[in-house]
Amino acid sequence: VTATGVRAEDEGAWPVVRLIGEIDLSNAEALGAAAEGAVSNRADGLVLDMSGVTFLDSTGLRLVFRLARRLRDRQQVLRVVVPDGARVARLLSIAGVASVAEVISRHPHSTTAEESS
Amino acid sequence: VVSVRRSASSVTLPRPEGARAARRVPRPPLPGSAAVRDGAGEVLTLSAPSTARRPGERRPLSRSPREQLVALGLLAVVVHVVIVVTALNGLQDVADANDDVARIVKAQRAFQDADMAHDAILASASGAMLETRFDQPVPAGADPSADVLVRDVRGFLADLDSVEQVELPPALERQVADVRDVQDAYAEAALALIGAFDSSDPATAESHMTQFRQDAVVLAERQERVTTSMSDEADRRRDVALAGREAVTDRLTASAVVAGLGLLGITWLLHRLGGDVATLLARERGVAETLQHSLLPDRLPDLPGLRLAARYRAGSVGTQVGGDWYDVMALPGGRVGLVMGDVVGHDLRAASSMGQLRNALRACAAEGAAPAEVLERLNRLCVTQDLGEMATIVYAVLDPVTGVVELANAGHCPPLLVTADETRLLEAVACPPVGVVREAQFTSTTHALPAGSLLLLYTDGLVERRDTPVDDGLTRLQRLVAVRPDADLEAVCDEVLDGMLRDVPPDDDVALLLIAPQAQLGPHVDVVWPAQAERLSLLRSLLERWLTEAGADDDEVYDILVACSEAATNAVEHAYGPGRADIGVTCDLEDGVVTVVVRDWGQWREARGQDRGRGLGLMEQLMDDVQVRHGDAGTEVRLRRRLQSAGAPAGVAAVRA
Repeated sequence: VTATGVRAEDEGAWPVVRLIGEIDLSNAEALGAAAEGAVSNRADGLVLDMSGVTFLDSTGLRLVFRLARRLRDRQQVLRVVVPDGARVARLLSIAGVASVAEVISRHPHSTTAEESS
Repeated sequence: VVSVRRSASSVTLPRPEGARAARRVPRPPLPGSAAVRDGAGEVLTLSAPSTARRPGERRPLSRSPREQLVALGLLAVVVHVVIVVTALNGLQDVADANDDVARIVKAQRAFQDADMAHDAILASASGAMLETRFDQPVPAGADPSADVLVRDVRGFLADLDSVEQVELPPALERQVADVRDVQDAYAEAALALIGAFDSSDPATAESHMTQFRQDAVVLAERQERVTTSMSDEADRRRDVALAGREAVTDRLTASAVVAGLGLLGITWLLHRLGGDVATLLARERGVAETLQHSLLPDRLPDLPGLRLAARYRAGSVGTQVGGDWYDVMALPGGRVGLVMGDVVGHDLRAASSMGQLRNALRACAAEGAAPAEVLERLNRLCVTQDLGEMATIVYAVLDPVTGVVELANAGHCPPLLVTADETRLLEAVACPPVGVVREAQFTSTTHALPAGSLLLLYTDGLVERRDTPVDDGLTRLQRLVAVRPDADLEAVCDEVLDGMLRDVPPDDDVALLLIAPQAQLGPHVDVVWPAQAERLSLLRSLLERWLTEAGADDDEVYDILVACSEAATNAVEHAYGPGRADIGVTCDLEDGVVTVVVRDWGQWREARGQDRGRGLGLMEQLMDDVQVRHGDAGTEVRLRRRLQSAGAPAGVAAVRA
């Protein structure tokens, strides 16, 4: 069973949430709530790192869209990190995630130190 | 870190207050007994001893074969003794009669001697008279002297004395005594003759002589009569002896016949008794065997990606069936529960106890809990509810898709894992058998069961022999089983049984269960899956394995997985209300076209809330063809896509070959 989880890193203006493993009906709700909770009022936006996601379907897309809408409502920006050629990249493009979020292939604040909060 | 884990739903069985007290429910009083309610409200039952027989009650007429046997034996002995005793008495009578005959014959002989002496006296007397009276020469052979006469008379009297000394039957005795007086008188008369002759008075001598001759005639007649009586009596006694001898012979013959008949009867009864005992034993064994077989699975479930084979073999002659059992059950999430158990004992009780344990284990395992937890629940149930005998059990949960097997062992033989690389016993932390210790702890261990490997669950009858250490059996088993991915599991079962049990037939019964994850799923897969969000991941694993096998490339695998996941998610979200429900998934590969059908048996309702309803669009974009059919019986989503590698994908080609 693939471990699924979320890592949130406080990067000040751009907190990073890393999603790891499979996202489906069983965990999307909880992951979305956790990601949303990682964004403080002071932040400019959220970096949603999906490099570690091994499976995503419309349930996971729903998570992304909802997150994007919530952030937009608060004048915050969602950046989705997906490496080119990753399994989920094609799905995100079919679904048109680019219309609600910035989809980038690499983490802009590439750091190796992962700080847990 | 916020981590979200799939939480295993755990159900704790509530233990009702006073559960033990509830078992002491007062029974209704027995007939002929008095019920007394004591201060605490508990009912005490006082009853008379049940052994007292009611007046007029009779023993049942039919006797047990054992009683019949004893009765016949005693009868034969008594009859035999009576006959032998009477035969011995008869023998005594015969001896007595024979003695009588001998005595009579002796007396008769003496009498004949006396007769001859009497003739001699007569001759002597005649001779003496002739010499005296006529002075004529005595005829040749006659002794003329008086001395000779005296000697003859004495011989005569001696013969008579010897007759008297013989003990004779009273009637004869009387006759002899009567004639004796006559004989004595005759002897005196004979002696008196000498005087008469000496007187030289011829007339007197003549008359004496005449008188003497007359007396002699009378005496001869009387003696003749006695001799005849003696002959008659001797004949009679002889007849008596003969008849007695015949009677004894008859009785001895009868005795032999009775003894023979008695032996015959006893033999027959023994034969019947033996037959009855054998019938009873066979009947109990038959019942236990039937019960046991009815509790073993009729056939093993057909599970995708898994091959199964099992055997049960009863113990050899002298022992009965036991409480060995195996079980295979489908668990939520496409996982499989595997059971191998052995109840202590080899009789009807063990078999029925096994039935209870089997069902209790099924109930404990149905939710899909971890093996250790299942065994702990079962153990609690056994100890607190008095479920039956102690039992050793291996319980394993296998995920056929991931090939992970988790198992817990309650004092049972270690399962044998055979992979391409190694053959090893899955020794676990020592845990007690189920039903012994109230708060026993069990430990689960996890092992990889890759495609093409083999897992053996078995009972101790397979490896234990009375005369060899268990380790020898285990070593033999390890050597015997080698992994051959394409081998027929049924044949492997037979090979293992033959190899382990050929030399020495087992005392104990033997159960064997083989589990082999299939190397290939094949072109057709049909599964029924629980409609639960938590189980979708395992369904995707199965589909991914099948798609890879079918020759789909990485992108195709992912696209089809997403499409199928959409269909399955829809079914989980929209088809059912709360509660247990299933979805059916069928996969087919034909001419390079993948067809996956996802169906549910619920009532379709439209998507609710924002951001919903994206699934259908995704499916249509990812698949060549999507058909959704809603009906009263449920919804069916048919997804089709032609693979780029259409033609002869390696995996499927191998399967088809």
